[in-house]
Amino acid sequence: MMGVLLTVAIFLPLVSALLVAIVRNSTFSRVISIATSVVVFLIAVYLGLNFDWNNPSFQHTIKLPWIQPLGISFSLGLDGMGMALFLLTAFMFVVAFVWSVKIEDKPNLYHALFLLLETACLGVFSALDFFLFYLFWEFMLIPMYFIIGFWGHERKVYAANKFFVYTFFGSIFLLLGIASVVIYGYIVSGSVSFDYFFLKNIQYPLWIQLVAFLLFGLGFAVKVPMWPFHTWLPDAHVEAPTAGSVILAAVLLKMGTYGFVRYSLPMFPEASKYYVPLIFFLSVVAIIYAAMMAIAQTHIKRLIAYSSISHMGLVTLATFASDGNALNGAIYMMVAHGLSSAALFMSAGFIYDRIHSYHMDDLGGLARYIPNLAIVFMLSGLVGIGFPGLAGFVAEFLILLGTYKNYPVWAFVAGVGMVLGAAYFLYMYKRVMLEEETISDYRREKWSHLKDLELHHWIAFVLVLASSVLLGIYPLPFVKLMEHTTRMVFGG
Amino acid sequence: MDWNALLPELILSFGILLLFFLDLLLDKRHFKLLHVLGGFVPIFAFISLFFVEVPAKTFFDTFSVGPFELFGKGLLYILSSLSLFALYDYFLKKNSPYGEVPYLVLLSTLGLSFFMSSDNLLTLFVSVELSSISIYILTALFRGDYNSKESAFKYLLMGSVGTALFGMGSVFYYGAVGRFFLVPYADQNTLFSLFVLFFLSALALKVSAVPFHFWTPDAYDGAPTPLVGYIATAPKLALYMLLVKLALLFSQFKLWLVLVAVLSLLSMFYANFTAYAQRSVKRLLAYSSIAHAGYFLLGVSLSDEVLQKALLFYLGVYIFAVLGSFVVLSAFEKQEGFSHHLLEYRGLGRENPVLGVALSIFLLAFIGIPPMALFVGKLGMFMGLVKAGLGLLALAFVVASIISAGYYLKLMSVMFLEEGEVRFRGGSLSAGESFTLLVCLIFIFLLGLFPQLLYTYIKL
Repeated sequence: MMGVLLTVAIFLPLVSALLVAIVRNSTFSRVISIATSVVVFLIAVYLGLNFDWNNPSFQHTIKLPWIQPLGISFSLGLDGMGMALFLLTAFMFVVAFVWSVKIEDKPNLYHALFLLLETACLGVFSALDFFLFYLFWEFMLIPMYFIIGFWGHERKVYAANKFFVYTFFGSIFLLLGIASVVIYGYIVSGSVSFDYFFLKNIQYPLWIQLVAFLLFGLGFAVKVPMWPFHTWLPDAHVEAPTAGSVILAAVLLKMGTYGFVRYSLPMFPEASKYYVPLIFFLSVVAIIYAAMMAIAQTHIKRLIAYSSISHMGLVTLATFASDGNALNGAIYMMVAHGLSSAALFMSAGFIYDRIHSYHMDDLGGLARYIPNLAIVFMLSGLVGIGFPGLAGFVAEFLILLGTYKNYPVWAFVAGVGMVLGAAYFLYMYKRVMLEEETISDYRREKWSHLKDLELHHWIAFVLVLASSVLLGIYPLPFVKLMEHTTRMVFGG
Repeated sequence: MDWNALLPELILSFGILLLFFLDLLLDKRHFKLLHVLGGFVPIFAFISLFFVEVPAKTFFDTFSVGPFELFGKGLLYILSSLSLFALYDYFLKKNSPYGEVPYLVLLSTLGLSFFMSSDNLLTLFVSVELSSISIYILTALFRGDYNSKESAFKYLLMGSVGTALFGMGSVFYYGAVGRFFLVPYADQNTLFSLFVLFFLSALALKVSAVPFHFWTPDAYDGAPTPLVGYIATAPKLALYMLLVKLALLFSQFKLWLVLVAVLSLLSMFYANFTAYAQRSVKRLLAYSSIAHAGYFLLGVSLSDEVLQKALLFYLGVYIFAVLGSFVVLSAFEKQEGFSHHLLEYRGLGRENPVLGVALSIFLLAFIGIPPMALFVGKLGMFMGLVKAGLGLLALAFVVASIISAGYYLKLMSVMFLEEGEVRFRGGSLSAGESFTLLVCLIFIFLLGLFPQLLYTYIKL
């Protein structure tokens, strides 16, 4: 029953997308998109409330035969991490649709593509069959490509192509990795199967683990993105429309780290230990280098994009720190970063809507003209830099706690990254919201009529920030969710 | 004589004769009728496949039918029927209703059909020439057009080299084995090595693998666009069927793996890089098909059931993507002065969303994006290669696929995303073309989501 509900939640947006494509009425598109995403979110909440975190197995499962000669089944299910990310995805699409309620340019296509994207994202987090997983994983490229390409800014074609090629580069290695483990399973057991549990329970010899880890890891690393595969992200974010950036940062980046936790850690445990120095090196470079890059930016979206890379570096670091608390923190960080980066991109998008520039040189002293935005912008940033009482704090605390136990030096470096995070955010805030003296009289004149947040902006911001506060002051149920996964990974 | 085994070929032959006389008797006005009739002939042949009792041998054992041949013939007939339905409107719009088109296409299909069933180098030779000569004529169809003549001449010249290599190879085979029948042979001697070398070269030329690919871009460029959909698919289908048979027989031969691997590596890397330099979309697709020849050759590098089945599946869905993409191209070409230059595609997707989306779906399928069926083919090839212990070749395949993604995307972004002056407004689709396009799209999606529908019919 729950499995059926999960299936409905995943494919409802697909059905709505088809409806939008058939009806082609912009009001209809807006209404049905918001309605669909709200229904999906409510289903996700219902599934979350019925999630039993004491039961150490995947829940809300459904398994139907699909492609029998190849041992492929339509198999869905959620564990704690999957549940958390499923909730996050469903939630962020509500926010994205509310935010885009006033879109004027090709609204039907816009909503149809976002709905397709929602199906793909929800599917990635709940697929328990490699074929199905890859289907969703890769299908996601198509709507995102066109979202960046159609509604982007000046260099949108370049950014869309770069996004596509980079992600495809990673995922085709992932496909080879999947083929390899399936064939190994076939050689060991004599039957072809793409089932997650079947392939997870095989003991892979070390050399296969080492190779397969790299193949899988490349696929995930591009999506995270880990240094040095990160260069597509700033371009994609800079060019994408606001809602595209929100989904990209809040949902799509999580797929990479989700992949590491779901596939790499449990399937290749020895390789995961073997590659710890490599992963740590790349993560720390990402944390520090991306933070430095962020400080050097004058383009606010690019700055937020680099901050995302830095935060995702923390996630990969903690994922491989072989500690329960660190892994809890990593998953918590996925959710917290989803919320904070979404709020930051919405703030940036709002500024662009009003002033038509992302450059700090064109901005300054905005707090006087759009004070409400100044408040939510500050709050969004505080979530990102881990201010106590907000979601980011719990995540960073857990990460430091867990990483410090086994790798105190690396924990220190991670801490430095967090300090830099505060630095670049406050620097950006100062340049954009305060510093009145730099703006010209002409601008003062023009900005005096600026319209502050409208209703749909308020709804979107309140949704995101309220949940950040909730996650910050009452983390217990969410940590329980994370622990559900952590226990399965570490056994016990 | 076992006439039952020849049932589909007999139907094709009668159809060809009928169309031949109808072309003589009927007026130009009935051009469309000829094509539609022609399109139905392979459908009847396809239906007759269900009445063929397999396995059967006839013609002094040179002609054999089994489940493997039935699979290939089934695809071939569907393919030629679909391409015939999509032809007429283009020729009418170009004001050149040549009545010989349907029966030439069918003649080529007949040749390929015999080719698939041949177990003997002599019959192979005769049947492949029957098909090739028909195709040379089809390429040169626009007699007045310089490009068409030039490309047909090049094609003929290069094709004759292939014929010569084919003949030479057969002679060495006779020298080594003492007969023309294809039989398992494991002796390593000079004559047999020469056979493998020449014969593989001949086949590489026909499937347009590097370094025997030179005719491909020219032939595709000069031939009437809707016919390219046929020229680029049907002969290759038959040739890969033969290559699969050869791989089963001879792949333990030392040179085999090396030669095939070299051909395939050269093809995929050379073509994928060269495709970036193309300005004509037709040539770009020609290079894409050279690259695909490289991918497919990987599938015959060793004799392995998983690998060969994956190859046949990949091939079976690839041909529909190619046919579909050339149908879109010919629909575009119906506009006056359209020459397939990349710049002329600017904004075409926005102006004509149906054709643009269809072409994009085929391009994404070539890249290997799910849920299009070519992705399952790629996955299967990876699995087969890993199973056969050719992990490094699989890695090369991966790298080549990544390289290729860029130029398909370029075409897509030109059609939809790039801004600038839009010179063409997008072509028109006839009923036949819509039908073909629709069937190709349905195949691509359906077989991507339910590959078992085709996979269960692949029997080696």
